[in-house]
Amino acid sequence: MKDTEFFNEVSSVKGRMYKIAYSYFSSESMAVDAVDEAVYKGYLKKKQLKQPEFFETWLIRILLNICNTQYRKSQKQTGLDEFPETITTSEIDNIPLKEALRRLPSKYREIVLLKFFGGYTVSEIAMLLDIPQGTVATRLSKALSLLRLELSED
Amino acid sequence: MNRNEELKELLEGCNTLPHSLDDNIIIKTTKKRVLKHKAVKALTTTAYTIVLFLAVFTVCVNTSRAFSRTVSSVPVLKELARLVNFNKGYEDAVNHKYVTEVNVSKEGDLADVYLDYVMSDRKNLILFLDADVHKKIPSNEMLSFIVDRIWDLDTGKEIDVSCVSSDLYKKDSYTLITLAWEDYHRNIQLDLTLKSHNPDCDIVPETYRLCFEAGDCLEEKIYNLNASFNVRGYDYEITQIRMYPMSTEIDVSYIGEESSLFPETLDTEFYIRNDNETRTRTIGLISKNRKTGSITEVIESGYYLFEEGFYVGLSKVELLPWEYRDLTVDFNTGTIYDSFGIQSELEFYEESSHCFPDGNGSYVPADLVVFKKASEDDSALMFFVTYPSGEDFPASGSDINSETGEHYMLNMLLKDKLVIENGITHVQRNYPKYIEYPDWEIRVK
Repeated sequence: MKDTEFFNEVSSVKGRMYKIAYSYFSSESMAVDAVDEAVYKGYLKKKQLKQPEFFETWLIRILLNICNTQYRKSQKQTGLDEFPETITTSEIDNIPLKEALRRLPSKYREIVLLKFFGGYTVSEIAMLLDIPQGTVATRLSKALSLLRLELSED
Repeated sequence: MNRNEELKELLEGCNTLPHSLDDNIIIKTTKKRVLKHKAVKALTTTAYTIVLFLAVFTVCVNTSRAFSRTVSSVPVLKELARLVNFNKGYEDAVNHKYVTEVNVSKEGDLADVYLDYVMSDRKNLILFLDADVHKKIPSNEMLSFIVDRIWDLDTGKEIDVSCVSSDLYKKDSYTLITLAWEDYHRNIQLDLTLKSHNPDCDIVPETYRLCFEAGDCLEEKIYNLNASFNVRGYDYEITQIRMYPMSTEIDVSYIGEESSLFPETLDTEFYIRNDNETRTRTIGLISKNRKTGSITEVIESGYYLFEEGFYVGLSKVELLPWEYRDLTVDFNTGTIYDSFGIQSELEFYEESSHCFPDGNGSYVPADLVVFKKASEDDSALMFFVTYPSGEDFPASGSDINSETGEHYMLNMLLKDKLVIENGITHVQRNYPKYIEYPDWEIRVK
């Protein structure tokens, strides 16, 4: 993939990348850093991308890895623990949504953030995370129920 | 607000793409990093064996060569003196070239940190720090340096420090950290963390290890005295004054019939002076070792100034006799009273709620009862109470009545620390009943 092609593709997907990164950190500077890092790593590895039609999926995966790593680091520093798997809706009710999202168990959080901030469908999320669509649907449903969020029709 | 509305608000927060993600900026940033990556890769292979060799023989590796020497450059000294001019003793020391250039640094993800200069004596260490911060810091965030731990590399032991002041990182100036220790240490290893003031902030704190040599230490000047004075029936004696390049210590003892009465003296303010200048207590220096019967008052140094002799004097004493200690707070009437009657200078202000740090990076709400105390002048008294549990909670603030211009102090009591029965609770006062201005001094040397 040539440089021009690479950066054109980045341009078309950077808006989504920024929103996803922002949903992890709620910080413009950290979100920009994560996007920059993902673009840089993508550029270094662009020869590894055999099918350019999957560019967005590939770059978003790089971004998710970076966000998850940085998120885990900042969690240790802030001491904000993830909710246990057994958490109930009523226990989360009084927690602001921003904090509740950050403390969701990672398997739910990732899907919710890709759905609402990335704007991806269930099938697109399944491809991004390389998990079955049924699993995505089940986890999304559970997360929405915990957070008392309503889903508009896809 | 329901959850979906909350979500809409969060989404609106990231709708606008920052300028730093413009296409041409992304291209420029990426290509610059790629060039640097290639340069580092080329050097790494040959440098690798050299680094391994060095690691065997060094305890602490800094990224730039560490050396120490006394600073003699006038422009540098002028700049450093300006930074420490809140303390005349420090300023004197800088002007007399009592500053060591150490020039050590450490690179990190958050910042590259530089320790350029230090000042030290048997009682204090001052660090002049600088940093290149790599991340964009939002305008409402503040970073500060915190000293985590400090070791003496000659003995391998951790150094006990107190009165550590951490300072806000300043972009275009040095950041100062002052530490108090009990003896001088030459070869030092320091763990220093750069972090945000805001516990909810997303900036991840970073710790840097710095090793340096503190430079030569001048010996203190000791003056032994037996100077006594009396304040409101209480007898005291100054036994010794020790003058270090960066501070002065004055040992004061109570010599009345019962030494346990000394804690009735809440505070004393001493000074030293000659015909031209006076040195007093200043920011960062406090009285230490307040044990029964004696205290050590710490004030600005006169090391370089008072070579021909000086006066030591007492400007203020704050007294709280034991019989005035117990206070009753009556929530039914909104009053505070002691065994002699209502504290007329205190009045009920309001009940409110505030968030306080819980020590784990979070803030917890607490119900407060707020009383206000009239202040006679601009240097309003800070006042505290002690709770039944024995804790002190110095929650005070100040306010001005915009209509009358009245200046007063607010004292906030944490409601859940009070044992309240029938609307009444008991605390211990620890603000003064009497403030005396003795106007006492004696010549030394």
